[in-house]
Amino acid sequence: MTKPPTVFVVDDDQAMRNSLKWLIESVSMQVETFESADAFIKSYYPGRSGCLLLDVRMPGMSGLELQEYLRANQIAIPVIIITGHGDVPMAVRAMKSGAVDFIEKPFNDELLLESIRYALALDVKQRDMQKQRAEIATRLARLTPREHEVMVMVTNGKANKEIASSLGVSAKTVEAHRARVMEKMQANSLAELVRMAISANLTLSESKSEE
Amino acid sequence: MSTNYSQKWRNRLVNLSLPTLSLLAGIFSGLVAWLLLDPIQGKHLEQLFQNELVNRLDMRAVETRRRFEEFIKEWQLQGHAISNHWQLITYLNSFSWYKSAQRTKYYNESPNWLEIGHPNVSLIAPGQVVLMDMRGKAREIYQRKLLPFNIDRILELYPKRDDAVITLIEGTPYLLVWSNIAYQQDTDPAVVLLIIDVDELFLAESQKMAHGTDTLIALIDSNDQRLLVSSNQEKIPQGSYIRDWRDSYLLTSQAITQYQSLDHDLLFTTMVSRDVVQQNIKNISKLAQLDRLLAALVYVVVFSFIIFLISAKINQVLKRISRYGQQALGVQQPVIEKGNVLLQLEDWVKKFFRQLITARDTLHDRQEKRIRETEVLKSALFDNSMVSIVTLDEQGIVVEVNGTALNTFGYSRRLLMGRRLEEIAIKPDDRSRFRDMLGRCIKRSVGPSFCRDQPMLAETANGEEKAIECSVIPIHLQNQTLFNVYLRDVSGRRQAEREIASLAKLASENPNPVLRINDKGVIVYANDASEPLLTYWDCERGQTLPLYWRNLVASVLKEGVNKVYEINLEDQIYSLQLASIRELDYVNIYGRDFTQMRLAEMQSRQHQSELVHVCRLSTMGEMSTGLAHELNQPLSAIINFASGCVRRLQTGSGGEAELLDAMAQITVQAERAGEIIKRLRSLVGKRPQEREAANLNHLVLEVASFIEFEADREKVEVCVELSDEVLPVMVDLVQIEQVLLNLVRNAIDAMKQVDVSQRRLLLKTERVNNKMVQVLVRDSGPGMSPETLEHLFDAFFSTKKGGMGMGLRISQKIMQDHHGLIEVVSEVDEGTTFHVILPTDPKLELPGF
Repeated sequence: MTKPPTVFVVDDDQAMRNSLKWLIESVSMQVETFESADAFIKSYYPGRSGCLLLDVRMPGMSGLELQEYLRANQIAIPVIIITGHGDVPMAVRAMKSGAVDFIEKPFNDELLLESIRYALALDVKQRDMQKQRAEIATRLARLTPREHEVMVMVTNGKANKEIASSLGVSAKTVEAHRARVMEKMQANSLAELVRMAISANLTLSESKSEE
Repeated sequence: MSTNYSQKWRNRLVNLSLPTLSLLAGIFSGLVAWLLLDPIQGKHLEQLFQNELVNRLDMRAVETRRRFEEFIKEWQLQGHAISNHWQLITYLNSFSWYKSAQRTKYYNESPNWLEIGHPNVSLIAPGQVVLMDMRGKAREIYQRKLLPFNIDRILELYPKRDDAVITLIEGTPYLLVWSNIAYQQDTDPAVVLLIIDVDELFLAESQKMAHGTDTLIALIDSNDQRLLVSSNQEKIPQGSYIRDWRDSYLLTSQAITQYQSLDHDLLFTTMVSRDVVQQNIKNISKLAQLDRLLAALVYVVVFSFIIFLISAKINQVLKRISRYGQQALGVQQPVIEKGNVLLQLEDWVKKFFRQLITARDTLHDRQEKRIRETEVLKSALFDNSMVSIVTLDEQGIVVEVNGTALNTFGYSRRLLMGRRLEEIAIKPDDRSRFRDMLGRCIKRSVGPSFCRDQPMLAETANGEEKAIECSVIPIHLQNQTLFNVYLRDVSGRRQAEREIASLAKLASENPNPVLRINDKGVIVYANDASEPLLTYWDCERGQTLPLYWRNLVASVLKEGVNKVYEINLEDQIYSLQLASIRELDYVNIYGRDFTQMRLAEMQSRQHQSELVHVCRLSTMGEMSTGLAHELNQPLSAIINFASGCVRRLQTGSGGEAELLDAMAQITVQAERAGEIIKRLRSLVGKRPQEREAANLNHLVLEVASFIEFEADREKVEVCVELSDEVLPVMVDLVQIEQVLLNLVRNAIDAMKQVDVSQRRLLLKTERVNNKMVQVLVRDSGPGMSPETLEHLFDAFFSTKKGGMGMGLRISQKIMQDHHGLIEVVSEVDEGTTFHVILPTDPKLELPGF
């Protein structure tokens, strides 16, 4: 976990790989190069932090296909697409598939490094969020069904009285439930609780089901 | 001696017929059984009767005594009746004994009131009737006879109540009946006493329903065992001793309840005559004996009859058997019609078996001899068989191998014996299959066909490969199964077979017409594909050809030289080769359907040309993108290396060796870019020049046909105007086509900017002068401005988005190489016209013209 973030370079051209490694290492970043998408898939494991520099046109699995693969396997590593001939449809496809940036060869070193920095920051953020979401999920799992219900209603902006009447219990009971929810979710305020609910996709799904 | 005797008996038995014998046996056995059983049964029966008799005697004794006592009771009732009779009472009323106090009166007659009162008494009249007063004193005594003793002895016995008792006085039994006379006011109380002699008559009367003469009763004085009185004094006189009668009578003595006496005991005795009883028993046992005899007789008859039937049936069956035996075995044995068939048959069967055993022995010897011969024959067959035979046991181990196998495969017998066949003689690829086949044959899981003629490859001792057909035939011996493996060498035969098969198919499966015509011009054979020819000739198989063809056949046959003719059908063209077979006087006709071939040729030529075009075009199109990508790679790498160097130098972090290495990399990549450009140049410019003569018109037509699809897609109306005369040019066809295609493509692209209805393209060829010909490519596009025209042929100048700006540059270069030129005339909104001008030479000879 303590490993520094790595820039994974996937390009079939050796000169490109070497030159990119040379360039990126000049700003003291960790670089690993792969000659094909397959080689990358075989060595990468999802826990590793970093970003992916991907050539679109490669023999075997193309860059876009690798992107599809990552998405299908829910690997959320940020991807920067590099291409020798930037045609618009391909760029659109790459961005739609969730690429962070799309850079044409030959590229401005400043631009490329900036893009990499941004991608790495994004990765850190994503990982944090992922961690947070997992934490929230475990907390949510600790709630009883009734507490879960109360939490959904509270985060949907319902007053205690409303909740009490719709659940057929006294307002005091709702109050108690709510206190326990706050405690179990480790939320200091209602705003925080709502934030958790949103990040757990709770509010949205429940309000939909209510409709 | 004994054998002689038994033989004699046996002979007698043989002469008796079986049914008779069985009858005799039945009767004899029945008789013996009866004789044995009868005495035993008789004795038992007698015993039974004796017991029964005693029982009956007891019963009869009880009965006689009961009757006797009843009779006494009856007398008591009589007494009562008399005492209450009104006449007596009337009589008594007439006087009083006490008043008169008179003496006892005696009458020697029956009282008149008695007669009136009891008419039956006359039968046994009481001896004395006494009227007594209550003090027991007799007042009136009526006596028919005198008592041998003083009556007072009787009077003393009065028990002061009504009663009837038997008493014994002076050795004579009497019945005494007392009965009180009903007391009335004015009469003295009195008692009537009847004294009756118990004599022969009394006893007889007591047993009114007598049991005939066989039963007698008697009274016995038990003290001296003498008879006092009996019911038949004649037979049993009074006073005789009872012991004298025990032999002739059965006796039963009982006490009597009504007996009353002081000095003597009295017994009531029932006597049954022994003679009568014996007679009875005899009669009954005789009857029983008769019964038994009858039963035995019936039994013998029925039994004998059944045996007779059975033996008759057996006789019949045996006769049939002997007849069948005679027929089936052909043994001289007379059919037995009479006498004891069973015994005769036994003799005959004995004889027959003896014959059979000798026959079997002979047969066995002969069989063994034959087996020995067969074995010799078989082993000869086995060894000299044309087929290689190897015998395996159930484990697939070789146990025998014949000479042919040794010769064919060249192995020594010692090498093969005791080894697995497939490991030596079968090719490794086929070993598993061989084992499989053997295994299946062992398990008999497959039909025999599976084990027959399996093609395999065998290996000889010198390593040669041999095609064989392998058959396995199981040989089931008594306690094991062996397998004969037949290895047929088919390498030669296989080849021949294949050839024959293919030859046979040659004619019939030939898609081309094959016919055989004899010297008379008759179609001897025609395959299916000849149908169109036959239709054309309007004749069938077995008919003669039309005259013209008949003559051709005759001439070919005569000259012995093969000839080829063409024949045009409505929609088909055939080439017919007439080949003579002179030794058989036949001509074979081999036809070839040219139509399909020509069509195919044309099509393939077209495909080919299209392919060439595609290649050409793709080289031009690919070139631009490929060039971009190819150049991009080294350039990007160079930039990256350079940037990396700069950054390291700026921060001072890079080592010298490291930096130098990066620089070297830059050089390498720059060289790579140069390489790419060199390659491009060689593609465009340095191609070896090829020149061939061509008609410019054809060239244009080909280009026009090729862009047809594209033009159609863009709704461009294409017009081709070709010069009437041939325009021969000496050119590199590929290059000129590239030039023209490039122009046409440009034109079509340009016309995308104008309305669909305005899109027109003209391709025109014409002669400029004696030395020059030209192609005009005119479009109805938007035209070009003078500025554009000025740079039109510059390298990397393009008005098209994504264009490389190389097309016209290259075209111009090509035209220069051909000593021609390319010119353009264009005006905005009027369209553009390109002139492609090439030198011509009228002396050029064009192929195909």
